[in-house]
Amino acid sequence: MNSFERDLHDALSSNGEFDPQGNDAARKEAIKTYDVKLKRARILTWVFLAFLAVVMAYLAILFVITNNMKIMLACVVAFLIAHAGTNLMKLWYWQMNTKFSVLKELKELELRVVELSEKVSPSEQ
Amino acid sequence: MKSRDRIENELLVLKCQMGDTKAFEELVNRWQKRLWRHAYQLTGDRDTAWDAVQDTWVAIVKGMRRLQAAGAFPRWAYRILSARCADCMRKRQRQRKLSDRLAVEANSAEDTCADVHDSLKGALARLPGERRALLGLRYAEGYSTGEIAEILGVPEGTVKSRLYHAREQLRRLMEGRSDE
Repeated sequence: MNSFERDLHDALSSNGEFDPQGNDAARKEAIKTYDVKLKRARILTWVFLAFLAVVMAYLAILFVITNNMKIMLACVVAFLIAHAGTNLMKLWYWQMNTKFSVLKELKELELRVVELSEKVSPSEQ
Repeated sequence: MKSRDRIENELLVLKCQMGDTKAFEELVNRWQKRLWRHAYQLTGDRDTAWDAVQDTWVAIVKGMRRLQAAGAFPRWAYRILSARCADCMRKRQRQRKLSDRLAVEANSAEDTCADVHDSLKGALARLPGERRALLGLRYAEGYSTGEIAEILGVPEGTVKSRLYHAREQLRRLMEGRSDE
């Protein structure tokens, strides 16, 4: 880095002093948005699962009390679809969770390797 | 970006994708200043920069789970921020009446010329936002040209030539010569 680039670095680093008050407000807002999103996703999932459970219960009762063969068949088909929907949701969650867990463990391992290599040869870092 | 910093960053992104609030808080602490500085270089206005940064975090939260590779987070975040900065500036410009805007801009340009004509800071203030942001990424944040190319989504050669032109324009402005 030559002297012009060093001056440029200093000028750009000090260009626009960081406002801690604005930072705090923006940080809180971002975290709040994240929390709200997580909560909303959780609520939506439970509402959807509860809805499917209610639908399945209704279909099971209808299947028992009806004498019409067509309605019985429709109940079975709808019940199976609702059941598959529940299972697909669980499967999707399990798949995503496993994917992120594996990636996270790999990154933790990578970080550990970097930490150890820094300890072994600190001058190279 | 150093490899350790990069890995820690990727780890934080992965934890956020799994729904870890503390990790998200740390990610915000880590990136807020960099994003704000980039937004400020682009817009040249403190409040607009904060608006853009806030909008960017909202977009990041919304799209976090869809982010395929955690390593792509910096590029993705800077792209969102650049788009938000452009939106915010357009919005601000629309809010002002044309005549008022022209008067304010003319005055501020004259003031800048008179006050800090020869200094580097003055020259930086007069540099177009995109070029200032590019220099910021290179010299304030310390990204390599390859990393900047990834962030901006352009070839590395383009970044090098843009950096060259930005430096040249800055030199010309510092020497007091009129630009292009």
